[in-house]
Amino acid sequence: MAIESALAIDRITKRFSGHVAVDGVSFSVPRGSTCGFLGPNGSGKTTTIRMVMNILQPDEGTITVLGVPAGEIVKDRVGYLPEEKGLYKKMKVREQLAYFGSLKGLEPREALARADSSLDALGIGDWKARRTEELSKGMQQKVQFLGATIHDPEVLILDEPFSGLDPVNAEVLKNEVLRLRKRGKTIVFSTHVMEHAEKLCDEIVLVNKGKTVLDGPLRDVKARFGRNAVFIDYEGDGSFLSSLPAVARANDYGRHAEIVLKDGASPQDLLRSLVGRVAVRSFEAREPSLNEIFVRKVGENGGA
Amino acid sequence: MRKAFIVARREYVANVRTKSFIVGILFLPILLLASVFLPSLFQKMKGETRRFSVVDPSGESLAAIEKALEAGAGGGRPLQFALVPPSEFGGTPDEQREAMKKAVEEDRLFAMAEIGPGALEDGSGCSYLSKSAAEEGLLDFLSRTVTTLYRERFLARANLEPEVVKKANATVWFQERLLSKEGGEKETTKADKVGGYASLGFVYLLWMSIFMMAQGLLTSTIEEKSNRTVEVVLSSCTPFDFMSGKVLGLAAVGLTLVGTWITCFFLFFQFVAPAISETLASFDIGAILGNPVNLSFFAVFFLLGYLLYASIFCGIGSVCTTLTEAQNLIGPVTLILMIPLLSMFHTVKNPDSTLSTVLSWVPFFTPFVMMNRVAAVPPPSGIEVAASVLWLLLWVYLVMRGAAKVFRIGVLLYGKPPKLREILRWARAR
Repeated sequence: MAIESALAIDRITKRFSGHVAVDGVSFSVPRGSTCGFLGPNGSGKTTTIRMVMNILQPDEGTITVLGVPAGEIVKDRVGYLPEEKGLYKKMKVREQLAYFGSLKGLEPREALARADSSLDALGIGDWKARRTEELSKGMQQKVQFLGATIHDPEVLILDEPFSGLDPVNAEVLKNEVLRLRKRGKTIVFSTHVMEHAEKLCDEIVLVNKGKTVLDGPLRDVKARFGRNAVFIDYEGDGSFLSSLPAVARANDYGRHAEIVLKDGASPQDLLRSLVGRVAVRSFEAREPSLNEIFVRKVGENGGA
Repeated sequence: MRKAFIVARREYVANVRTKSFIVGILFLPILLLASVFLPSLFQKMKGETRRFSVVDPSGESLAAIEKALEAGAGGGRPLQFALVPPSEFGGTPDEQREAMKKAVEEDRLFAMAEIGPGALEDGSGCSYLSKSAAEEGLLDFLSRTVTTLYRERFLARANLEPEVVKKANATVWFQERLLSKEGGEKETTKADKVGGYASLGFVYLLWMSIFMMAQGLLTSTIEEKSNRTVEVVLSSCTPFDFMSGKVLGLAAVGLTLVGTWITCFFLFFQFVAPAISETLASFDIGAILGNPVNLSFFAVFFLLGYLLYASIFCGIGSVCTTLTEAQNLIGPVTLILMIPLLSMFHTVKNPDSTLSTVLSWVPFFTPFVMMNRVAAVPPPSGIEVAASVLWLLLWVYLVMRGAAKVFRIGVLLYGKPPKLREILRWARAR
């Protein structure tokens, strides 16, 4: 391996009574990078993550975390935020965090101290002696995130971290992720919201139906799809866009559209046919969005 | 294993802080104190006195009744009989009879009795009138008192010496002796008799604590599943650490509870009870609780029985998402658990009967029935007890192993719970 991987997954397969949830998935995540683990619902993301966390064992294949086979030894060096958030409702916030910390190998005293300081840092220090059930949903999300990171893990795995968050809390979480990235932590997060992945990731892995469809540095992946996409902001009726001769596919949002050009068609051809029919306010030709790539690859692969 | 202790510690703290634990731990001390103070409270309550009067033209029986009441034969403590002087109802027997009947009608008297003229001659002609057919204590008392008087007179009329009369009235007492398995004889002591009932106490305590703790384990497993903390915990430790931590934590909760109860019980009988009543004081509680055999078997059977049922309940809890779902699966287990509770009255009297012996070898009953037999008289042989403990150990091992497998699969499973057959298949899988 050229670059030392924080996480290396080699042809893992997991079957559940009759159906194959993960089917020979392979990918690796370089140390210090942020990797988006993408795929439609039911594509095997959570099962893969659970195997990395040694909650499930793969039927075939190997998983290496920080240079050692995935297992109990590395659990303490990895932080994990499951998709379904889980906290003990009756426990006090700081005791809860300290509990998660000590399960990850911290000394009880150290765990309590870290619980306090991390709560203070996120501005919810006043709530540390309250029962978790008294907290708002947003605060509980923060506590959950702190629980996953209290032991200062080298690798952080987040399963759908943004699902169910309002914009304010999503922003808080995003900033936390960025802060950890700056400190050199490896972050893997699964999501089906492409905007988050596009803005945060260095690397992406796309799985569908239990198989890896696409993986590598985001820049390379995008380059592979060429610069045949055009993003326009416009006013007027854009319903004709997809029927234009230069257009292979149009993703129209009413005021904004992402257009994929046919091979050989140039952005100028498109611009010419727009003039006079809609008022164009911005026009940009670049590589397609991750969303477009996702839809295209998953579509080729037989849909979600 | 270190992580199992962390899980256990959390489980312990979380449970000890619950309201149901605090209620549970106070339950026995309150019950004991209530048993002391309630009777004296009842005694003070008015209206519990049964007022009655007697028409007795000769006055002889009446005098005997008065004497018996004075001697304290007037019923039990919560209930007292009070004789209203017949003279209050009139001078002649006829007047008295009419007035008393009216008084009974109007509830001024609970009952009236009439002693016939032949009562002390041939025991005939007595009657009793009351509105209540259920209350027989008073009638019984009157009958006993007048019978004694009649018997005295009868024997006196036969010209027997008072000494002879006394001898004729003597009761024959049997000296009770116990024959042990080894062939030795000894006099039956109070401790032996009380010890027999102590066996019931031990079984009941064992049953209560095991069932309560296993139930607690079930609830806490389901709670962790439904609040989705399972996955967070499992990303830090193995399912086996998780399960054994929970089992261990609740065992500590159970021991705290039972330990407190036994201590309360001991303190009560040692210091409080003697000050209150002689009967209670004669319970040599120290001899029963201090009996190292009983206590150590209690500890052994508590531990093994708890592990057995804790594993089952934990396994069942792990496959359910709600308590309602769990109730359906728990039903059969609860039914099985009822059997040793129902059979304990038989076993305490017949600890070596075929039924008791057979039941004590059914692994799910062994902890309770063996405890029952060990604390009863005569206890089973040392070899049999040792063998049953080994037998139970084997089953605890098998059930725990099966439950751990079910737990591993079940705890991450949401949605419709699997069928019992499916669960058993998981448990047996290699």
